[in-house]
Amino acid sequence: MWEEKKNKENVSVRRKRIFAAILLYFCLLLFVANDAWVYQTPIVKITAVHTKESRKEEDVRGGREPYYAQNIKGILLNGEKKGKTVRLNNEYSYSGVLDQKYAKGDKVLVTLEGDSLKGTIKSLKRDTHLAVLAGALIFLLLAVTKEKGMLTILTVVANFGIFFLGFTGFLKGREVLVVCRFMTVLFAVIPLVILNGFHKKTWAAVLSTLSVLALIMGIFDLTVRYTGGLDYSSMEYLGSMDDPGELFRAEIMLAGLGAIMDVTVTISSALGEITRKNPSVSVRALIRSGREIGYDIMGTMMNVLLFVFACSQIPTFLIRMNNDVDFFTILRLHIPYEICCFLIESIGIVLAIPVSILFASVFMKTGKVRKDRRNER
Amino acid sequence: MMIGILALILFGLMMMIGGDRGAVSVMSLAGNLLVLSLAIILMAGGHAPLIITGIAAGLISYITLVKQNGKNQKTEIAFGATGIVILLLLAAIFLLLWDARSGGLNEIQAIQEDVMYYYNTNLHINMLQITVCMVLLSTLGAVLDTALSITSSLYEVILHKPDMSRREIYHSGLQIGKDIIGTTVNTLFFAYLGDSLLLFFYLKNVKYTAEVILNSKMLFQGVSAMLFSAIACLLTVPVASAGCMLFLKKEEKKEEK
Repeated sequence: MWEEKKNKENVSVRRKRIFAAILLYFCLLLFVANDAWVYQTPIVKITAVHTKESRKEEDVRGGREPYYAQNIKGILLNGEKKGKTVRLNNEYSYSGVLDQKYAKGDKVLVTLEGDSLKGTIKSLKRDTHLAVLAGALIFLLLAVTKEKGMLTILTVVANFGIFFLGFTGFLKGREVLVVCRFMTVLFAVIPLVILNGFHKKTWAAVLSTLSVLALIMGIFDLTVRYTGGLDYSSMEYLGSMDDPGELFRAEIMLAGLGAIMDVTVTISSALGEITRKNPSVSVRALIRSGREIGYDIMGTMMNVLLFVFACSQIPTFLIRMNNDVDFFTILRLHIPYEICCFLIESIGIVLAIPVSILFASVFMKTGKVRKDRRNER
Repeated sequence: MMIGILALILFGLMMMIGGDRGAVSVMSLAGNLLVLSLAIILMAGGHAPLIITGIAAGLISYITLVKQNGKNQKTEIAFGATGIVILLLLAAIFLLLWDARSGGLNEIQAIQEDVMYYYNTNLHINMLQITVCMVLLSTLGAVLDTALSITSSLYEVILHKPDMSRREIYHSGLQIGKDIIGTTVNTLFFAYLGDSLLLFFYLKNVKYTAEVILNSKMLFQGVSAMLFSAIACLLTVPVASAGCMLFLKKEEKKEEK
């Protein structure tokens, strides 16, 4: 009862807070939408577009693909020539695989040709869109999960910080794998400590996460040794890299970390909760409960990873299949790394179940024994 | 070769550790892969991508929820909640991606050698719609995960404490949501980070300025998919809790009568 009363008193405070959050969000959007003065690159706001069909090319299935030419006029928003009118040209196709249509009101980053007022479009200004999404996420996090939302935001910020540190280290010439090992340990420890605090179950989760990672890297190395590994030459983005094998190992290490951590945290905190409520619970009962929870989350976790990996490959498939490359050839030649990565992460998720049960039971049980002894004395 | 061995290890482990339910998981994983492959083949044939995605999403939800976890109230409510969240988000996804011109290949994919020199890129497929479909499908996995976690946990809670009021049910749903959202956001963060890690390292070789990277399509495609997935998970929490409040409770009352 008293809780409800307290809730009612808090309603007006909460409304004020929500109102302030919405106001802050819109201020942020306004700022990002008008931040052209921060940029070094010339930014043009498009004021008039004249579009006409320019030509037709044969498309991959025997039809005709229309192309459109655009004459664009716009106003420079920053730099010395601010306020002057600029002329830009653009061409786009119906599909828009490599090009895109621009419309009145768009803001674009351009390169000007010398001193003239002609230029080419580099890219659309997308920072406002990023701000809309990130702001919406933060707002919803705070609205749905309240104080815990703050912690989640904090972990994501910490993760970005760690990644930034590692990345600058890499740019300074450190070795990829060294940087990645370092980052992985930080990634495993810091978010868990922020989310769960210094607690036995946190250390159980950290230890099991790191051991599972070591296990899957071992499995990866073993299979590479016995099968000759993968051919990295056709790997996306990797055209000119000198050490694709190491980069791939780095990718495997990081991509599954989140999913593995999810499993270990869920199991160790559930087992921690059970021992807290019923301190005399037997190890066997703990193992049984851990397995039950593990089964429940195993399948859906794999699904999450599957969709993330598979969906990013759709354009690759569309272009190659329409150029007479067979579906299975693509699987074999163009995306074996992604498949391999997914399989190793999934192995990690499955292995995380027994490993985290083991560590959690050991931690909970030994801690309890020590406490008992202290009590006896 | 390597893939075959890894797949064997995975399926073996799933059977060993998961027992019967591991076998069911293997089946539903294979089913989802089959549906995804079929959807991609149809899209490549130039059929309407949004309709294909809608059907595929329905089938995938059915396989993941009903086939993997049995046909019962929990999975039915999770199915409904997933549908509502995806429909709610569809318009937002479409609008934002359209306004950000997020369709097509990103800057680095577009300069791959085979794409530049060997392939005809006149696909006669609307690539913007394809991108919308990609974001929708990658959101789906996370939404299904969240919805099922909430409905099955709430079901257990109600079993243990049948005299809960509707308000209490809804609030305990939100409470469960709070506990799982943090780790789900983390999972998504790392999955996309790993996926685009190579891209970041590639930037070492290509001299782009920070401004161009911030506004680039490659960054936007990855980040928007991640943020939309996280937003969808968050929306799922109240929707699934409300679903449980309305339907799980009704069942209880009927039984009382």
